Amino acid sequence: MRTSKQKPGRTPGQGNRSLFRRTVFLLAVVGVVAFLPLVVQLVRLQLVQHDYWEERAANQQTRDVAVNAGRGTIYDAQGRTLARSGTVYQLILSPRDVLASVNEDNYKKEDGTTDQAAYEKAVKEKRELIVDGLVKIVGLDEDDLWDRIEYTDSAYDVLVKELEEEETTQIREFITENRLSSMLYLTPSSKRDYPYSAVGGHILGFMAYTQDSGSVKVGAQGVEAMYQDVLSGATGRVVTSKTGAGTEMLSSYEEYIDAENGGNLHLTIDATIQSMLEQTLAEGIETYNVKNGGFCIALDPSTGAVLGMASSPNFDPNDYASIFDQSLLNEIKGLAEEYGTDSTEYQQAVSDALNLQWRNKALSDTYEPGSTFKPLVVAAALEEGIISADDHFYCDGGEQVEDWFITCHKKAGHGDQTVTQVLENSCNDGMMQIAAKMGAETFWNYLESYGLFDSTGIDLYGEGTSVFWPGGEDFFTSIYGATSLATASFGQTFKITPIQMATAFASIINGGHLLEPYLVQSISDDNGNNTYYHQVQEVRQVISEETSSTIRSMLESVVAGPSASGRNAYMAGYRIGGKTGTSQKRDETTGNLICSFMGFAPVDNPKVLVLLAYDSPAQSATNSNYTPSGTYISGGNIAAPMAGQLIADILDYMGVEKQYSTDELEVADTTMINVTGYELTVAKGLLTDRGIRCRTVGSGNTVTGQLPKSGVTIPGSSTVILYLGQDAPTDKVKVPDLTGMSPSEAKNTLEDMGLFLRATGVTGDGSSMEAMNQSIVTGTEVTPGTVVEVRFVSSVIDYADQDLSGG
Amino acid sequence: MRKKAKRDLTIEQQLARGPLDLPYLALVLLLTAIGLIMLLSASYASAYYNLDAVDTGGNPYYYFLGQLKFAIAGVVIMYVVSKFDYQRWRLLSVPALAGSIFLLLLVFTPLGRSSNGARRWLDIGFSFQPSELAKVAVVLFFAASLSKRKDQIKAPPKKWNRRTRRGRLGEFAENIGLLELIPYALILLVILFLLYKQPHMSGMILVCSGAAAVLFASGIRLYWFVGGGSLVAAALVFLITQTEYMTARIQSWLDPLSDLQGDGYQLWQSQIAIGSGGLLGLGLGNSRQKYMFLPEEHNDFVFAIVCEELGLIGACLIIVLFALLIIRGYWLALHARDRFGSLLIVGINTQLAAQVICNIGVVTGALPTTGISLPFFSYGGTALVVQLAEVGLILAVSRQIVAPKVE
Repeated sequence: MRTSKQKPGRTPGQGNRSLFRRTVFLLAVVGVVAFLPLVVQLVRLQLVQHDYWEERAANQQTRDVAVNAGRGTIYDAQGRTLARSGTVYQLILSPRDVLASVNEDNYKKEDGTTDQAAYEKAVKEKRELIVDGLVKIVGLDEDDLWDRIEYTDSAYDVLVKELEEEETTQIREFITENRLSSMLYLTPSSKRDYPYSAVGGHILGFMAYTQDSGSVKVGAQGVEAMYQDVLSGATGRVVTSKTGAGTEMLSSYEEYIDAENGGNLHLTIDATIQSMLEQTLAEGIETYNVKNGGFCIALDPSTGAVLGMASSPNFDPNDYASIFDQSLLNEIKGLAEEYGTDSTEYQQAVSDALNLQWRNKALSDTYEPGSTFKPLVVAAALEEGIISADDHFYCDGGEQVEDWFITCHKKAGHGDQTVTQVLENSCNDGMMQIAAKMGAETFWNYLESYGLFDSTGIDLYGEGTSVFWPGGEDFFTSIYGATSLATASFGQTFKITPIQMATAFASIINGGHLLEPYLVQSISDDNGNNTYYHQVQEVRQVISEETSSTIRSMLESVVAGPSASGRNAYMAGYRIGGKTGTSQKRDETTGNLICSFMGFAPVDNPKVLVLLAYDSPAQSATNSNYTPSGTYISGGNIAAPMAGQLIADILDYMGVEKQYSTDELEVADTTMINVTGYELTVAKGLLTDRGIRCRTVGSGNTVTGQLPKSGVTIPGSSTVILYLGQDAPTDKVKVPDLTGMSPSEAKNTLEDMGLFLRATGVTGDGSSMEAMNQSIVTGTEVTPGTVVEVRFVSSVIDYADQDLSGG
Repeated sequence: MRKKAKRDLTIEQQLARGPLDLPYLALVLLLTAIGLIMLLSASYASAYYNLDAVDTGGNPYYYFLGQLKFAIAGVVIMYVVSKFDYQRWRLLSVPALAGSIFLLLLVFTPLGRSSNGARRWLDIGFSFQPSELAKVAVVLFFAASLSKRKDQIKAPPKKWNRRTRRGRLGEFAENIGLLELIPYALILLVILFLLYKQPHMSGMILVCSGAAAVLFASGIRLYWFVGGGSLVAAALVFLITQTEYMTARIQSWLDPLSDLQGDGYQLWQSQIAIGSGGLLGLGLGNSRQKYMFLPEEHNDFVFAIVCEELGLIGACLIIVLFALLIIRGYWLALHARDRFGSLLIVGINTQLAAQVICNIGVVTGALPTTGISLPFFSYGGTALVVQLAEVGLILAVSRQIVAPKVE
C-alpha cells in the first residue's frame, strides 16, 4: 500500500520506512496522547471542581450590597420609646488615597527623575489641608490625626464612629469644596439610642459586638438579646454583577431581596413605674448604706406582666461599657489612684464592676427569701387542710428539731397565736410547727407546684437556678431532713431567684394561678399591625380561690395590724397586704442580711405585686443588728416603709381608687371651707359638720381670718386656726426638723407654727413611732397653713431565723 | 497571466495543480471561523471598556474587526502559498533562513520594539514578530536538507584518514551521526540564542519542537533525542531550581493563590473561568470572567473564555477539531509525494500541535505559564497570517499527493 504511493522509479529505502514509522509515532503521540491530559484537566476543573470554582467566580463577579433593615423600636406599656435606632455616620479616611491623590508624574523633571522635594511638599500640603479642616470641624486630636494620615498602608481608617446628621453637613461641604471624596467620606451606620438612659437598662439590654455578630452589633442582653431576631428584621440584599474593575457589568443582572424592618416590641414595662422602682432602690441604698445593692420587681399579679424590674447597681445602655453607678465609680477611682490604671488590680476591678452593673439580679441572682416565704407555706397548709385559719400555735421561743434547738427571733416567745398572728409576728416557731404538721413530702410537692425548681419562663436570657441544700431531692430526706424542713418553713437554707419568688407569691394572692411572667405584650410590624400578642400563660393552679382569699386578708393584717411586722408598709387608703423578710445568708459568714418586703395592693383585687430587697445594709459593728444610724436591720424597718410608699405611688399612678376604712376616713383628707366673716358659732358649726376641729386666736365674735385658706386640703384630724379680731399671719415660717418625733410631738410642733401635719405610714398604736421623713425639707420657708407630710415608722424586729446552732 | 493549458505543463507543474486536501482545508476554515467568533466574544468587554494598552476607542468590535481583516488576508495568502510548487522551497529555504536570522538581528536595532520587557517586534510599516518567520524557515531548511540524507542517497562514505588522530575522531563522529548534526545544531543554537535575547520562551519552544520533529522523522538516531532530551531536562531542572525567576514561576503555577498579586493571578482567574463554565458553559457571549477579571482574555487565555462560555462539551469539541487537524496533517505527511514534503508537514504540523497543547496546558494549569498563543483563536494579525501561510504550505504538499488507485 505504501509502495504504491511512492513515486514510480524511486526505491523505498530504509530511510523511508523509518520516516513512516516515526511519523506514525508522532501522529499517535502528538495527535492523540498529548491531548489526553488536557481533557483530563478540563474534566477535573469543569466537572469535579465545578462547584468550587463557581463559588469563587460568584464571589468576585457579584457585588452583594447589604441593605440594612431598620431595627425595631422598643416601647413601654404607655407607648413611650425606650429604645430606637437612628442613622449616624462614620467618617472614614483613606491615607493611601491621600498620598495617591498627589500625582508623582506632575513633579517629574525633564530628565525623568522626580523632584522629590516638590512632591513631598505637595503631599504635606494636602495632608495639612485635611488635618486642619478636620481638627476645626470635628475637633479631632491633631497629633493623632497626623499619625493616622501618615500611615499610608491603610485605606480605611474610621476617624469618627457616630456622627449625627447635623454634624455631617459641615464635613460634607468641606469634602466637596476641596474635592476629597476619594479619600475622605461618610458612610451611614446605625446607632441604638435609649432615650430613658439607665431606666430599665437591665430589661432592655444593650447592643454590642459579640463573637458571632461580625461587623454588626447585636443585642447582648435583655430583650435586645432575647428578641434579637424579631428586632433585627431581615437584611436585604442587592446582588449585581460587577467587572474586575469594580464597575457595573455590561450585561448585568440584578437581584433584589427587600430588607424587612424589624418588629417593634411593646413591653409590659412602664417607664414611670420602672423609674419609681429604681428610685426606691436608690433611696433605700443611700439611706441605709446598703453595701451590695438590691433588686425590685413589680408584677401585675393577675397576668404575670412585669411592670418593672430593677437591680442596683445598674447601667446606661447608651454607654454600657462605662461604669454608671456612682459608688462603684468612686471605688474604681480609688483603685486607680492606689495602683494606677495599668495595674491588674485596677483592670480586674473595672471588669468586675462592669459585670456587676450588667447583672440583672432580679433575674439571675438567687437569695434566701426568708420570712417573705412564710405565706407560701401557710397557703399550702391551708390548701391541704392540714391547718385551718382558726388554729392556734403556741410559740415558746423556739423548737427542738432533732439535735438542734431552733429559736424564734423573739426568744421570749410569742405565746398563743392564731395563724394570722403567726404571720403578723413572723413567728418562726409557729411556722416550724405548721411545716412539721405538713410533712416533708407535701412541702416538697408544693415547692414544685410553686415552680421553684423550674425557670419561670420569663422572656429574658440568664435566669438563675434555684439551689436547695444539700442538693435536690435530698433536701428533706437527708439526715438533715427535719432541720431542712424546719428552716425552709421560714425561707432559709435554700435559694431561689427573685423572679421565682415573685411569681410564686403572685400565685397565692391572685386566686392560686401560677403564671408565666413576661415582658413583651405585643410585637408590631412596620405598619403598626400586631404580629404577636401575649396571652396570659397559666402554668398551673396551685391553690384554690378560697385559700388565696384567706391568705390575702391574713397578709393585709400583717401590714395593717397595729403591731404587725409589716406595719411600716401601711399607707392609708391603699389596702396593702404583704410580708417582710430578713434573711440570713447561710452560705456566707459575713453576717450580712437581706432585707426584703413582698407586698401587693389593693388586697381585694391586687393590681400590683412588689418585691423589694436590699442586700446587706451597713451594720454599726460586726454582727450588730443596727445600722450606724440606729435603725434595727430588718425587712420591716428597711424594706417595708420603702415598699409601702412605692406601692402607694404605683397605685396612684395607675389611678386605682383609694379605699378607706371607717377609722381611716376620720383622718382622711378634707377640704377647708371658708368661714371668714362668719359668726364664730356658725363657723364652728360648719367645721364640725365636716369633722374639722378648730382653735381660736384673739378675741371677738366674728372670724376675721383663718388658717388654712379655703380650698386647701388638710388631714381630717387637723385643728384649724380661726382668728378673731385679727388677720391670719402671712409671714413665712421655717419648717422645723421633725425627724425622730412621735406623731403627737410632730403635730404639736407644726400646729404651734401654724402648719399642719399629714401623717402617713404607720397609724397610731401607742408603740414607739418616729418620723422617718418629711415632705418639706427642714428650713424651707413656707406660708402659714401649709401641710407638711410626715412618714412615721415603728421599729420592727422580725428576724426570720435566729441562732440555728443554739442547743 | 494567462493560464497554460494542461498539456503544456510539465509533470511537476501538473502535480502542483493537484487538488487540495479538502478535509484539512475544511478543518482549518472551521477552526478559523470558530476562533474569530470566540475572539469576538472574548475581546468584546476589554474593547468596550478600553482599558488595555491598545486604544480601541470603546468600539467593542475593535479586536474582532482587526482580526477579521487578517483572517481574510490570511486565507488568501494560504491559497496563494498552496498554489506555489513547494519543491521550490528546497532552494528558497536557504535565503529564507538567512533572511529570518537577519530579521531577528534587526530586532535589536532601533527598528525593533519592545513591549512588556521583551524585544520581539519589528516595526517596518507594520509590526510583526520575526520569530514567526524564523520558526517556518527553520522547518523549511531542516526539511530541505534532511530530505537528502546519506541513508537516502546511498553515496559512498567519505574516506577518513585513520592514521591521524583527527581522522579517527572524525570517523567516529560520523559513525555515531554527530558530524551531520553539527550544522543543524549550529543553526538552531544561533536562532535560539537570538530568541533567548529577546527573550521569547514560547518562540524557543516552537522552533525546538519543529526542528526536533523534522530531525526525528528524518531518521536521526534515537539516542541523540534521548541525549538531547536529557540535556534539556537537566537545563530545565537547573533553571527551575537555581534561578529565582523560574522558581517563582513554577511556584505560582503549582499554587496560584500564593502569588495572587503577580503571576498566580492570571492562572487563578483562568481556572475560575474554566471551572465556573461547568459541563455546558454559560452560553456563547455570557462569559463574566472577560469583564476585566482574566487578563489577556483575547490573547493567550482565550481558551479559558471558550471553556467558560461553551463548557466542557464545547471545549472538548474544539480540542477534538484541533486533534483531527493535527492527525490529518500527519496523515498528509505519511502520504506526501516525497521526503521533503513529509518532513515539511511533520515540522509545521508538530509546531502547530505543540502550540495548541502548550497553550491549552497553560490555560488549564496543566503546564507552567509560557506566553504561547492559541492558533486561529488568539488575537494577533501577523501570527494568524503566518499560521494560515504555514497551512498553505501543508496544502501545497497535499496537492502533489498521488491519488490512490481505485480498488
